[in-house]
Amino acid sequence: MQKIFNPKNLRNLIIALVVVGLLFLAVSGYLTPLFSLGSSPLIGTQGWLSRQYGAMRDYFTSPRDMAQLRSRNAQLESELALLQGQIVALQEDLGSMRVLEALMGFEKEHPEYRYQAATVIGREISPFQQYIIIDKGSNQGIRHGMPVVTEKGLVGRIDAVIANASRIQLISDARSVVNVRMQTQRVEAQINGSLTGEISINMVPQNVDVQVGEVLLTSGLGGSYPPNIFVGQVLTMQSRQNTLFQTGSVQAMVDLTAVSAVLVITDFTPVDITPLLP
Amino acid sequence: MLAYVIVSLGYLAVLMLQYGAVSRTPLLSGTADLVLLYIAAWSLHQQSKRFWILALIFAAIIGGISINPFFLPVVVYMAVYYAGSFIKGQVWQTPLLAMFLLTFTGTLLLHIGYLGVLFFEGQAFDWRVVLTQITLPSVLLNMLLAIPVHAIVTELARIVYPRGIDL
Repeated sequence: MQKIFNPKNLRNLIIALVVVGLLFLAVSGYLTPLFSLGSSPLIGTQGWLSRQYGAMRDYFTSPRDMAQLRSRNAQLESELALLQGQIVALQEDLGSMRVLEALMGFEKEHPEYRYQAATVIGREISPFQQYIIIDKGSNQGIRHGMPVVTEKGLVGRIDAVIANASRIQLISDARSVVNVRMQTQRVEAQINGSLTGEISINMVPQNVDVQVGEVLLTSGLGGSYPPNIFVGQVLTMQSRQNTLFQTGSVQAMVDLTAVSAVLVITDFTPVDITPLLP
Repeated sequence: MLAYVIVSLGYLAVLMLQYGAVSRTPLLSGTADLVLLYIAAWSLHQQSKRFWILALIFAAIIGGISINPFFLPVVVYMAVYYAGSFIKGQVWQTPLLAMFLLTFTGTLLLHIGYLGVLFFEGQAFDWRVVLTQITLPSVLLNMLLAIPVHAIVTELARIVYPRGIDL
């Protein structure tokens, strides 16, 4: 007995108990205010480091060839002129559509969301999961489940929140499922992420002729995401005779591997339909 | 005490580098794990009896931040730490070889853990894709980074243990 409780063992036991106790308090959430206080300068430093990394990456990856840039500029200018012509034509179409809408008594929906801009300061350590960390948290009104977008399209949704930082589950994550609809076909489907970050489209009926380049938007089904947000474009489609649905691969609108700033939609409340599931 | 402070400051730098830069620089779909390398390197150089407390705290921080279950990084990083401490007493003449051994087995163990969690969650995955796109690139990156991390930790160890004082 005396051997067990000699000063050396007792000291190690006390240290172990203190460490386990602290871990227990941390896991139980009692140390959250302390962590919040401690994490603020770390998050600030992490943000600075992340910006430096982004600047370095841009420096090393930006094109240097001026001739190539000039030719690309000329090409873009010609495309711009073409697009401006299309805008004029579309504006005319829009005018007639508005008249038709007024006649039919429908109001065009213009959902206006409130956004919280945030900078990406980190990425999940496990290569099997596609999550990023941003520098805004519950102090800035971020809540679990809020959708996250960029000016190009859907990024994911808020998965976990602390005072000054949040974790986002990207649409390329293996656990992510987004209900989408095709812009021209008006057919609904699902997109799923994968361990490698590739995105696939599933649940497309066999009788639908999906063209490569078809644009996918959120359908709003399931209540996790608001409708009509750009998600991506169909890259390839596969149709097998012995299966019920077609599958394919999708190119996300947003480059999810290099996203550096995002917008969180703060006035969209996701609907939890879990209790309704059989 | 100085050892604990220097190692902890080094860990903070490693943690921020990992999340801010290393995790965002993949090779195919694999990424390096600086935290694993840092713990492995210190397990081969530490001369303090209670260094395991620091290793446990480092692992617990990753467990808290990561989407994976809390216990997974804690178990794997502590296993790497104890394996390193054991190897240190066996093949101390070849520390870099021991570092490579720890890096290789640690990365594999960590990936098996990640996959185990996904398996129990019911996620379907193709072993060949996982191996070629994620695990092998991660092992390669870790092996490449093991050399500079080991060199830096060796230099730090010379500063914090100038005469091999047993704390």
